[in-house]
Amino acid sequence: MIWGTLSANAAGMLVVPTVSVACFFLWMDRNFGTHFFEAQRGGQPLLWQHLFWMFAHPWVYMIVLPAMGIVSDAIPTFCRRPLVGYTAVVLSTVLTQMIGFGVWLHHMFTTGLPVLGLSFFGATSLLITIPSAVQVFSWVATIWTGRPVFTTAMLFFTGFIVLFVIGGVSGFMSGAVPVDWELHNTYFIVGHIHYVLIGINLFPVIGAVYYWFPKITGRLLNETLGKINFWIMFVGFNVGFFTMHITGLMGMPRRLYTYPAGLGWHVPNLITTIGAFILAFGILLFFINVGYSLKRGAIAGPNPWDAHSLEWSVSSPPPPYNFAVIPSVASRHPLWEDRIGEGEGRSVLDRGLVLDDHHETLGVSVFDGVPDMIFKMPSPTYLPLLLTLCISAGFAGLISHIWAISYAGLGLGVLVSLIWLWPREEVGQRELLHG
Amino acid sequence: MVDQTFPNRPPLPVGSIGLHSAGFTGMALLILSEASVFAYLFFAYFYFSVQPHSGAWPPSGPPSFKYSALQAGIMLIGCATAWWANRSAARGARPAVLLALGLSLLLALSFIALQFADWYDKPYSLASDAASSFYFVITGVHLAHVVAGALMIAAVLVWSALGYFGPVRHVPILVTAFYWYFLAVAYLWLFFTLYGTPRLA
Repeated sequence: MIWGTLSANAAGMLVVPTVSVACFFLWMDRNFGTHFFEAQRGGQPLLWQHLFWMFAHPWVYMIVLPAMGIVSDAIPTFCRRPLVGYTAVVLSTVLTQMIGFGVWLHHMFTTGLPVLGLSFFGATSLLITIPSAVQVFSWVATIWTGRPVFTTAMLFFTGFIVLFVIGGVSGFMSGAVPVDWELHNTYFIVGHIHYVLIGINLFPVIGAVYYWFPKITGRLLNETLGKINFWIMFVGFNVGFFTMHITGLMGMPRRLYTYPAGLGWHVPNLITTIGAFILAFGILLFFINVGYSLKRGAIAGPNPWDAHSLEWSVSSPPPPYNFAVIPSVASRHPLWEDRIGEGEGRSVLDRGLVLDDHHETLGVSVFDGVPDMIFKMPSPTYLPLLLTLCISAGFAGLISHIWAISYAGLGLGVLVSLIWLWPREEVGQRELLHG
Repeated sequence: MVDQTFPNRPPLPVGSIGLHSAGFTGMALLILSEASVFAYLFFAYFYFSVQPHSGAWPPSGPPSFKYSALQAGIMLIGCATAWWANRSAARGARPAVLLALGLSLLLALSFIALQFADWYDKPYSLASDAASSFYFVITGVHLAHVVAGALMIAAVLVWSALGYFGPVRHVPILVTAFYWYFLAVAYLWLFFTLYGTPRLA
């Protein structure tokens, strides 16, 4: 999951600016008469699509990769063995995000672009299935060679694998240029996006809540209700959204809210509606379970799943300072070391650098993680919140054309930043680096 | 922090130190993200320049070097003064720090003045055509970044005058200098794109 969030954060810094630039151009067009997007005044409407998709396709991976990371982290716990091919999974996570920067044009195959562009982006879009498949095979192999325990969390994770394969295959199909020309404006794409956004993101996230809820609250979610919750969601999801692919193949265009009778789309749309309501009922059961278990759930203890990672070594819920000493970690499964004999040396969790002198943390070297300094961290403060409110007011003023508010907000924001960053003796540098 | 694992290990230095400091890392990430903003602005500009045009691109000819060449020079001299400020701080030479930061601030303010002169020199406006929209929006985005840089220089100038920084602690000056180097590279990039490439066509 670390690698998933790392890839997502790196991508966020690189691609969120595109959509900022696109929105800024649009705002300038509307308010100050610039000529970026309006064709009749010398603008390029297609530029909007480019800037939007240069952000939005990497964004798909930004929300999917952390969710896939959750599954890679939690499946070993329920299969009672380390993840098969950990290194390959990490490499494919990073590779997926990297290839993800170069596939945006596959959302624009039907906009009349040159054939060379279509071929290149068609090829990269098909290429991205390779790292995705590496991860799928790794999860399947972990389950196959492990001793799986099908708790609710595990049901959500295995359900996710199934949905990922279906959503991946429908994506692979529409990544091929000639197939996309047939499917692009149909409900097939709507089915695909439901599989990738809800199936690949919502399912593992709900699984993650079942997995980490005891760590967060100290109480387990109810397993019986949980299993009912999963099956209703899984059945409702597939009934509703798989049907969309068929509706699409029957020729129903997307972005349509009504159509004449007699086109033959009534039955599949009715099935989709029924499926969507079943799914919604399943999600409702999840919220009921959370509400019920917060009060009445079984007491979890520090490690209810006999899991392998560090967070399970402290009490549930964890103390505000997380760890009293900074643990030294020697392997990927610090709590399983005695059983699986992984690596050389043992993690030390109960001795180490003691956090006994206000807010401190370790600074380490980038590649080896060797501690080389102690950071003094600032105490809790409202200044960042205040700065956020000032910036929000500034931009709200820009949107609503109340310029006084935007000047005041941005000006106060500068002032708050100055106070926030004012040099303070207690958090500043005190020594030169040793050695 | 008490070290229970290796009691004999020499204690680690305390503080946010030089290139390892949180401020430097934060600025590096900010620059990565802001450099992306400029990259997308230039992408959009080039997207327009490679489209078939009925007339010349830009329609009123390439913008003149009258002020912009001077601006590019100022950005580069600003790099030197910022570097000098950081080096003097590391040596504990406070008068030199104040002089270098004062010069940097002066250069930043003259860059801002020249940018406005460059704007008023133009016969076209933001809303004239696509090329003029690009010219004003891209130089405007860069100008906004320079204004932020001037504010940063003013802040570290005041803080240096108040005696907050010395040979041990001067990361804020380092971070400000780093941001100015980014502004200079961004301006050279802008200079090449807006003022240079139309002349290459």
